[in-house]
Amino acid sequence: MTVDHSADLDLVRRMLAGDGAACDLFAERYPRALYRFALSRLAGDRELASDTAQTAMTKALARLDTYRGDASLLTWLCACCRNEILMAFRGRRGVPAAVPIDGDDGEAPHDPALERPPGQEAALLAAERAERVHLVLDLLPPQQARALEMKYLEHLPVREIAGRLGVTAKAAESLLSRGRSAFRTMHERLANERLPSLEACDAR
Amino acid sequence: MRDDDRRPRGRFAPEDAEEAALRRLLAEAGPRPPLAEDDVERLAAATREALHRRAGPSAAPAAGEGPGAAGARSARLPTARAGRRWGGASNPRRAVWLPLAALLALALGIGAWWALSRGAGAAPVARVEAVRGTLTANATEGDSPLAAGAVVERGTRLCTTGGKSGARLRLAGGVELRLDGDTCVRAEAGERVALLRGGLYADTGAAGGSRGAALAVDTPFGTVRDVGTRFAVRLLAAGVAVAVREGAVLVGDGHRAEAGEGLLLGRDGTVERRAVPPWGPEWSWVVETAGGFAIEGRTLADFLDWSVRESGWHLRYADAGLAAEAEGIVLHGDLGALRPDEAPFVVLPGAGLEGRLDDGVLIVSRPARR
Repeated sequence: MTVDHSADLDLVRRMLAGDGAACDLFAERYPRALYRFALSRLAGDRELASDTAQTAMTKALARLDTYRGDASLLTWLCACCRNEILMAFRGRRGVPAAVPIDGDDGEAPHDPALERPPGQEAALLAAERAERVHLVLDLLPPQQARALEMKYLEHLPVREIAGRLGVTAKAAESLLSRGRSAFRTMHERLANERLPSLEACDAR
Repeated sequence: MRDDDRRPRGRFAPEDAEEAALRRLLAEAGPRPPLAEDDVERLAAATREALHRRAGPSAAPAAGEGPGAAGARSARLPTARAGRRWGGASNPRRAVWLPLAALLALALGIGAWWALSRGAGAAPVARVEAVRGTLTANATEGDSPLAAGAVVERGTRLCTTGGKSGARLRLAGGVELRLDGDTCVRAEAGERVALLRGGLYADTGAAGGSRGAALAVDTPFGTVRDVGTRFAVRLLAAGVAVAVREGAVLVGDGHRAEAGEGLLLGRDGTVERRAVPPWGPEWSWVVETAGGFAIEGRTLADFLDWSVRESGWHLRYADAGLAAEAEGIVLHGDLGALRPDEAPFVVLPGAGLEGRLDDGVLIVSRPARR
């Protein structure tokens, strides 16, 4: 199935052209998702996750012109981050290995603890789906993400959502409508692709 | 009139298939595990710095993060190259070294400006403090680009060109005015401008201005008058939108908007109100056009006051002792191109503290032990 990443390509083109609004949007949304990705793979080690995410982001932005839209921008960034995580593993023996997002990583460090007994596959797939949902929420405009969580996780009525967000009920309805649409689009894109190869973001 | 869910109420109100699928997905995934917001902010700051570097050498670099503390009562940042934040004439560190002759010329210029502003005719009514991108003056003799330091005469039409442009002006009445990109105003007097296109932000209490300085902003849909405040006005196809950060404004025929409120005065005279938090993406361009803050020799408390004022946040210390300590921590270094809403997450670690943003409140605390 061919997935359309034209929105991400457009964002990158605008960033490369120096569009301040595009850069602001990127800086507002993507760091959170990338940090979450790193943290989940580094057993919650905040310092290491911060370092690897920052290195990955810096390298990725230096090579932003190589993004071709073959995968979503988030997937591309996560691939860069995974390289940094692998380098961190090689430099720090004994750190618990983390599970790559697609489970198909020829360079993942071999750890017997990673071999999955029967029955754990379903749990891992559920964890993968959960992470995908969380990353998509991280990429939404913060108010849209909060509105969705308040409605569908906390089961709050629209009026209370509006009050908590400091907007009118009409604005809250609009946030929910736009949030649902944006979530559906982004989630479909992420669910239908695999991470690019590890070589995609090698620094020159 | 109650404005609530349009669907029938009740626990088992029907929802469509898309919503049901979304509900199942979110329920299965559960809430997002919370992240350490200062870690996220640090990464966001590093991202912005990397984007600035990509933009080219004209973008001033940030001061960097993770500064080392120089001592219990002082905090030092790595000194940045070329201390200007963006396009501004004011570089506080460099200003100290101005030759005496230049200082005298500046003083005389300001004095002459004030003397002239009291007269009629083509009198100066504003001075340009900083420009990002392009600012032009459309006067009777034609268009001319303006740079920081330029004096604006009465009746001049000022325009920022391009979405990334911006400008900061000081009106003769003391009000600080910031112009967003693709914005045109006409300088009517030291306390009056006409908004012709785009959006502006006014701060009647900024440094150098007198508290309670008046400002009137004329728009095609009515005049916005401040009551000692900070507010933004934007022209839309549907009317004029006003958002108030502090104080209050009167719009058109006496419609009043208070801090935290937004008001849309429509072409047909209708008024729509909405809540507008004083912080967040709506004010991003305002934060971007803020003046810099020279931290060298200033206290952490002063720096945080500036940061929260420009960011629209509230400030809270995790304990009362911290508030007193902040008065005694002296900062050194240079913020470089750091924005007011980025700087605390770089400065606070250097002072051995942490900052966390929670729903518009900057919480300053001591680091938790790991």
